[in-house]
Amino acid sequence: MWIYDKKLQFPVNIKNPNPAMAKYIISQYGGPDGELGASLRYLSQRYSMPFKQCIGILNDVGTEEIGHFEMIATIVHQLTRNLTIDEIKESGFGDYFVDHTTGIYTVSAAGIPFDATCFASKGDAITDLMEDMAADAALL
Amino acid sequence: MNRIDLMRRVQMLSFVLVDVSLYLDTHPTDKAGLNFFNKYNTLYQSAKEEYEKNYGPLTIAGTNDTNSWSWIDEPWPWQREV
Repeated sequence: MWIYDKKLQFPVNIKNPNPAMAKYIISQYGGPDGELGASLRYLSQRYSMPFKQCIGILNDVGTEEIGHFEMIATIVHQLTRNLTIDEIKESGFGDYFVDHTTGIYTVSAAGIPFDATCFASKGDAITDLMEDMAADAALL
Repeated sequence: MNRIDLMRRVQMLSFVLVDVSLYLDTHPTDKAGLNFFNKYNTLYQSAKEEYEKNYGPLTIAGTNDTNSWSWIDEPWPWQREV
């Protein structure tokens, strides 16, 4: 199970709202290479991993990705505060706003909702590790 | 230490533990790594304890309330610190 830690992994205190930037950054939340996909990738792959060192790192990196997921949401949340309707229209944030207002939703910058086809879990350590390298070489 | 400075200390020490623990996952018998982890874990534990004593719980286990459930008190992590 998991225990919630009431802090961000790294602080986020955005001074200037910027809805155009928010529309790009939301992709790191629910886009094809985002933190949700990363977290689900590692946490799902750990069950078939035969080596304890690799089980540990899949478990712990998968957990850390959830922390990243929260930081990205925080960035988008703070970038979209106190917007006027003109700012929403002119920034290009309107396409997101029409469906979600300033709620946080797992979606790519192009508006495609999170789709689990962006990662793999094949029950084979080498196959999964290759997929991890393609997705996030920092793991290895 | 004020709340934001102490939070920053907790975050820094916590970040150290995350990174070193990932290293130890794949280098579990590295004595220097283990010593490094233990040193920063002690510092983290005392910073976390000091934060919770003065500014409220960081985990559910950090609560000790008799009148009002402090867990729901603001700020939540996504709220700006100003």
